Amino acid sequence: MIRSVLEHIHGIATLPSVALVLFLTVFVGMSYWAIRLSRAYINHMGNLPLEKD
Amino acid sequence: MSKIEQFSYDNRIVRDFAFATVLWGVVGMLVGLVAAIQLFWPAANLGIAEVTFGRIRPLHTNAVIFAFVGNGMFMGIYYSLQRLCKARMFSDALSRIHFWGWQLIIVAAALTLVTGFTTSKEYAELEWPIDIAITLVWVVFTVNLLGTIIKRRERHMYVAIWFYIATVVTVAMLHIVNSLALPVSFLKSYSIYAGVQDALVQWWYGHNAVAFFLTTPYLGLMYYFLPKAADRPVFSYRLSIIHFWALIFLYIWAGPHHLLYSSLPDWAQSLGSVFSIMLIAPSWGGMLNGLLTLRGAWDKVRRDPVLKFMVVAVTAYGMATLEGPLLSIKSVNALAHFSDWTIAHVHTGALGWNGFLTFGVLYWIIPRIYNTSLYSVKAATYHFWIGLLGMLFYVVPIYWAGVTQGLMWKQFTADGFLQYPNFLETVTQILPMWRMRAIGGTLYLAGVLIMAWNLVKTAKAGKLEADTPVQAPALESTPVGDESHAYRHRWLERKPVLFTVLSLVAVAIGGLIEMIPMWVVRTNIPMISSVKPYTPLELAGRDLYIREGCVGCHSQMIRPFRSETERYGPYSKSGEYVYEHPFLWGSKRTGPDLLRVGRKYPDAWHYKHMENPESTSPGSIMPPYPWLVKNQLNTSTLKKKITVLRKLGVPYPEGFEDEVMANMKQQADAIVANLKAATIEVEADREIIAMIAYLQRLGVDTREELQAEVAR
Repeated sequence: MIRSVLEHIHGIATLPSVALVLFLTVFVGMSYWAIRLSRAYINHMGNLPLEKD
Repeated sequence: MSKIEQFSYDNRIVRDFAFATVLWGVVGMLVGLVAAIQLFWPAANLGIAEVTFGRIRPLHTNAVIFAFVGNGMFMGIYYSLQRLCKARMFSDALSRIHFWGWQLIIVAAALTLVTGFTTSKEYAELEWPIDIAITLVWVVFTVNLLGTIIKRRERHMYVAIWFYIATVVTVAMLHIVNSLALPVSFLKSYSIYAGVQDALVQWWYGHNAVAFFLTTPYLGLMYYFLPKAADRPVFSYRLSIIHFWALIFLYIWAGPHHLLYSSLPDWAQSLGSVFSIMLIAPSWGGMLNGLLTLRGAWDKVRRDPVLKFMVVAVTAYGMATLEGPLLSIKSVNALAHFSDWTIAHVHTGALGWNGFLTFGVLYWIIPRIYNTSLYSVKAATYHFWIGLLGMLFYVVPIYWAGVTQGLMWKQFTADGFLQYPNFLETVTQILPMWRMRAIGGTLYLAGVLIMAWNLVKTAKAGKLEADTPVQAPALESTPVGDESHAYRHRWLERKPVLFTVLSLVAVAIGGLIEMIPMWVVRTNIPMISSVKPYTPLELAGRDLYIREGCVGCHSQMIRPFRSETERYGPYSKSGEYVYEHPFLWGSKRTGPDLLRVGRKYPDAWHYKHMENPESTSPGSIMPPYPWLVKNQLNTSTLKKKITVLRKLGVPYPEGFEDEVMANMKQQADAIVANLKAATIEVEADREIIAMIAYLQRLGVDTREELQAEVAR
């Protein structure tokens, strides 16, 4: 019953796939960005909490 | 060379939030303990409506989440944000308004919840005026946070700040969307959503309250305070970036895993499952990042109670975030859902992750802002061990109870009948585990009391440094092109407003993709023609059901398993809930499902059962509700309720509100006559009559149709 109703929404079946592709794109892009960050930047950022008050 | 500026950090606000954290922690946990005791000894409510399980269970969850963890989050954020930004908070006035506003909200919440003013939506129980107050105070916090970030003297935003930003924008979005309701009176409203739609919005909110109130801000705290306490940088800053974006993007989609096997459409359930399972990756990335920060420093863990607490907190985060995805697998969920397994799961998170991280941060902050050292390291170490023991004594028996009861619900005899057809049998079986849980809770609370004493002693031994004087160079604007060498292209975290917008986009995408189809579906939900709106008396009874928090123990959602259809009747259809503002599916079965309880027992049975459950069900742990028999039903807002529900799409005919009283009297008189025939004398205007009317209506509309369907 539910299925027949949802068929009324155009393209509903592709929605989970769209979601997955969207996430993977963001994930790959962001990982690429993170990996490309310079060592100096990473060191600076990692040490930010350690600076004395 | 930029000018060196003199300024100070505001420690007073940190101190205020710290003490509020401890105070509300003790209160929230104490209420939890009382609730836990009532589960095996219902008389512990002393016959008082205000402290009965159904009302104090939401008090416990709200107090622990929003009062204890909320204040703990603000304490940690106000401390770390100023230092990471090299700037005092944007506005001291906003800090104070935030602090006192939040405490007032907590007090208002406590008072309304125990007096029965509740929307019944889990972790969103507060009525609309308090919801508005929360929104305003949250805006104050957001302005203060973003204002501080904008006026910062450190060019780069450390990853903890990203987590804080994600928290403020997402919590605002979740709170507003889920709390939308139409008021009936000053403290009564109806959710604008109904049934399946309400369930989806609620668990999109509920799940992400866990994600963005209990997790992301605390991850920010972990990324600041763990390196601080270990005196070494986080294991991998790159990993923390991936952790952040993957986590906030994935979390928001995972809500439907709370509704597996419910009447929610399959695609939404699958979406929730898949994204929940994927969540293991960033969660464990974060956990490992935390634990590996301690590489080469484990000797410190042996000596330092702060690190001890943090290590267990991060480990509990890892355990809970492995378990969550596992529980999102449909076959695991089939066993675990509605059982104590869920309770054990959330307490691994609450006691381990939130509790222990808060304790670690408190032990770290208080001596520092009081310019002294911790009064007793030994007492803190005792607290650690007693807390850990308490946690284990809590969760292990409750996991055991959950699995035991879940299996008993599903057990069939060789002849194909339910092995335990009486629900009560499955409850009495696990009572010993519930008693052990109360011991665990007592130990945990004892540890917190030791901490409170230790922190007060520490504060008394030192003197509050209300303002820490600091100097730092002003932030110069960098000319375009300058970014290309040493630190290239970190434009994103250099622009807090853009960052905020992108975080909001990341979380909004998930929410919208999930919910828009549901809104579109709204008019298309398979209507069942026999499903009709409640009568005025039944509606009044339903509101009593909401007031007493019945939904905390009774579900109204029969899943499509033979073990459930045998026990409760045909499984739930989405069309059965179209007039349910709010939905009352529940998430825990301490008692049986009630979706089809209507006309299963005579009116007199319900009367006796509500007055004293043991009279009809010996050994029952349901509390008696004698006040329903005594109290006169308040009908002053009933007309308004009808018009409000009509506005929300419930098809009461025009002018029906004028027939409310007559209609109600007629139905009440019939129930009174039934009771009289069973030698029970009661006036027609008592609350119990409305409650009986409501319970007797449940599942009745669709009974014939569904039975015919089953027969076919």
